[in-house]
Amino acid sequence: MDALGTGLILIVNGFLSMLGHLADPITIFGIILAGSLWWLATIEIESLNRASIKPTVRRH
Amino acid sequence: MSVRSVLGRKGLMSPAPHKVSRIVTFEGPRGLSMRSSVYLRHVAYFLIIVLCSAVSDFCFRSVGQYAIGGKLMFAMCVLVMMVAAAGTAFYTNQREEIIEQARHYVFGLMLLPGTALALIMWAAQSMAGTSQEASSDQFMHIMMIGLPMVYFGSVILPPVLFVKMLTGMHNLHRSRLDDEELVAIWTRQDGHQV
Repeated sequence: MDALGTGLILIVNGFLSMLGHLADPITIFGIILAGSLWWLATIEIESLNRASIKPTVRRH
Repeated sequence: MSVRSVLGRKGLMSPAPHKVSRIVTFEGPRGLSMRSSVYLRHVAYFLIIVLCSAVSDFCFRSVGQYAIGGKLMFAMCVLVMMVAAAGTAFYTNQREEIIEQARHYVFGLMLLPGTALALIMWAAQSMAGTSQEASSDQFMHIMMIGLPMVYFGSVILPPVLFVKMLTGMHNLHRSRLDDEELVAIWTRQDGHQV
């Protein structure tokens, strides 16, 4: 039971410290950068999808 | 019949497995590898930006008043990428061009030259710190003042130019010709036809 309690406290502490780090400006910039790069990657994928060969005959 | 399959059939929702199977059917495994390489390339961009900013931060840490150098570089790269991402939403027909330009600004103008400048400054500073002769040298003195200036110029100016370029994009591509002249050129009725 003690081990469970300690584990829970550790998890909660870790979560809170992670939330604390989220307020760090560098972390916020990192999240924004990751989001922007993900968006740009999605756009490149989309243009690949557009350029790929598609069936011209509609299937029923 | 599940909701997902009904929506997928009506074209309202395209589940990922369906997309993957379509890519494999029409392009083979190469289609998947092309798409995953795009994602990997962008992960590499993220890592390169973080790495170069960290190196610059290390080089500038000991330069009292310019200690913010590395963090500033990171923030400016984020700014360019964020503006590029927003620009692709606003100028949908210029998406490829915007991504190309953002890459050129971040890697060609800011990150690599900035990191090289930071490293040169760090090396010059450590040289001036160890050698008595070098520390009294006039050239070294000027370099220690000039290099951070050049660094900040190369890190701060490109985002400003990029934002300016992006906001003026539709002006750049707008033709200044009047309609008659434009149609004459398009239809090759400009007097130059053979």
